[in-house]
Amino acid sequence: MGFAKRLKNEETEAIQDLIINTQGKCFKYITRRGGTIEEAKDLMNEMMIRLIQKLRINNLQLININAYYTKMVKNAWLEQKRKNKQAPQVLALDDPDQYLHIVRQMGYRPEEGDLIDKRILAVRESWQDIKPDCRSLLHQYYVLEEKLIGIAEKMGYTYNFVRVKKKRCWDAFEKIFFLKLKKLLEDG
Amino acid sequence: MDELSQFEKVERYVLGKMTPEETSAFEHSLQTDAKLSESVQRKRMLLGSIKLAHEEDLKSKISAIQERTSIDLSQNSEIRPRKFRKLSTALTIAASVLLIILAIWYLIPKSDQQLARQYFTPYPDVLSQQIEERGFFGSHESETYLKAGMSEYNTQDYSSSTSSLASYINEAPLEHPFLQEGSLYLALSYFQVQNYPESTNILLRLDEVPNTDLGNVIDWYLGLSYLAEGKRAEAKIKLTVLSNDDKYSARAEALLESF
Repeated sequence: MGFAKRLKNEETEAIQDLIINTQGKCFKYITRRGGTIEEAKDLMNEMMIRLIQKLRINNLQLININAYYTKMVKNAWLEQKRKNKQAPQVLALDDPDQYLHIVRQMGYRPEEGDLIDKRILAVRESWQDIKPDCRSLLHQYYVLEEKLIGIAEKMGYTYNFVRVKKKRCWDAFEKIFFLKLKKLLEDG
Repeated sequence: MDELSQFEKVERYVLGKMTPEETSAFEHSLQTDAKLSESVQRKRMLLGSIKLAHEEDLKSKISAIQERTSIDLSQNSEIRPRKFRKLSTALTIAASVLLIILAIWYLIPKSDQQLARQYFTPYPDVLSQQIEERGFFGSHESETYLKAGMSEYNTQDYSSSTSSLASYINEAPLEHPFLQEGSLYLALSYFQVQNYPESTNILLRLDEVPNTDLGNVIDWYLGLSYLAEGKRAEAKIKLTVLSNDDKYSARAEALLESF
């Protein structure tokens, strides 16, 4: 399997290889420009997540992933310096505000940060409560963003069957998630 | 609209997979359909939560790897001066040995497999255009595999295209109009992932089909596939057939001379 594909699948060894191959250069670059090793690590962590997302979303074909990743980290550091922000960048995966009204409809008025923590906890607990094949299917499709046709092949299902199964698994997961979230909000 | 279609429509909207026209129409429906609007919100919230949870997990995983590798680096840095000198001598020796090996590799004749791969270029995608022009045969589900397979073939993701195209061949009805072309691209995908016996098998089956438009194309790739398998005699027969072909004669003769 190609290195990019292994990274897309978040294989520990692939992530480790990329870190080992680029760490020295990134540390040197950032510490020579007034940053600390800890800041460099944080930035490398965030850029690693962004790289994996880029590989997934754009199906990026890269000849030299080490060089590309190093460049991403360097550019992010320059951008961070330019904005003169000490805090590392946070990836905005979604806007939490937009969900507040849903839980308000459920009768709760949580703090924004509190709601994020509870949502994460509810997802983690809900994963444990669904069947392993559903968990695997949803993880491959929604997290690893693999094509449904490939998932069907791997799981030994037909394409149409996996379409229906995905909906059933999602419905079950959604039901469990909102019940868990409700309970977490009730418990404070 | 049935439940599954509605579910997939909401999903395509939330994942940003709709065309601008579809998005505009869907957003218009959202303004009037409260139930639809709520299902979009719920989907968005859960999907966002899954991504947040996953991002947290991935961050922890990367941090753990960073901690491990940082410790290794610092341990190395303490002994770097002496170790570096030893390493540099070792590297010089290794580089010299590598250079000698490379020189020998260039001087000795290339293996059959290397020779076949040197002459191999992927056959261009003529199928997607045909599909556009003729339209699909029907709405058979196997056509999804064909479309995915050709897209993967075009992006050189050959390990995926073998799987998608094989599914198409297995599930398409016998009278489906793109079976021959689909088989050809499947054989070429197998060649690219170095599964030469499978590539040869498929090309052989295609070679047995009478009056096909792909005759010389099949002969050329079958010759290369035989050669990659080390079957020189069979390769020679196929390549010799092409000596009068406008498109392949020069390449076939050059390849035969390299034998």
